[in-house]
Amino acid sequence: MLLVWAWLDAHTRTFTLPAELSAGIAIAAAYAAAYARRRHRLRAAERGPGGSRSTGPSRPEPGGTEPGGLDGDGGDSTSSRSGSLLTRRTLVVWGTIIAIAVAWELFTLFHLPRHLYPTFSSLYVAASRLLAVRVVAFAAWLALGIWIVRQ
Amino acid sequence: MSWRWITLAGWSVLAAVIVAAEMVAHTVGRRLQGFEVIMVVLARSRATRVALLLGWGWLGWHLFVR
Repeated sequence: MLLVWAWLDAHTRTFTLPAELSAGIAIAAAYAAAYARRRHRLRAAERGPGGSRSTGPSRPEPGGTEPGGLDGDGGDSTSSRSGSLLTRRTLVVWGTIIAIAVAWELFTLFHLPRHLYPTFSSLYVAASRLLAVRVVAFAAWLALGIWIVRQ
Repeated sequence: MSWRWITLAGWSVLAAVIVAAEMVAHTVGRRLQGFEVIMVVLARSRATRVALLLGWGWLGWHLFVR
């Protein structure tokens, strides 16, 4: 279904109603699903431990402040798999990559003309002339949204 | 060399570094975790989960509609 939706979306044009509906429905559905999951989780928590087993893997409760920790030793494989800890090297490497990516995007964004300073999205626009690129990009975006909602 | 090629080279290097970091994380990297681990950790906090969802929505609208 995900690929069918992506294939249909790839046949829409930006700035048109079909494109707005295709992406808009996905966004609205994701927000509604996330809201419904949160309500379900809260109700399960209110019912107590006996009634909360159907909510999936345990996670910090609402308002919790556990975003993960820092494993100063360099990480062990168990914590890596569970995603409970980030190693110092992970933070440094990915933090640097993300910072450079943001800096490069901002550098290109605030320089004109666009054909001399292509941003990430203008590169996508150029690549999206290929139908396959549009299908893969939209499918990946939908998959990412589903993953976020399921967290 | 025009600014267009410099900019494109920058994006290419960035993409190559991201791919290399992922490859290291999934092959020999015991201390370097993949980007998905960062996403999992971010998604554990309610505030960042909401931010991820809002950012996802904006990205889709920006790329596929506008």
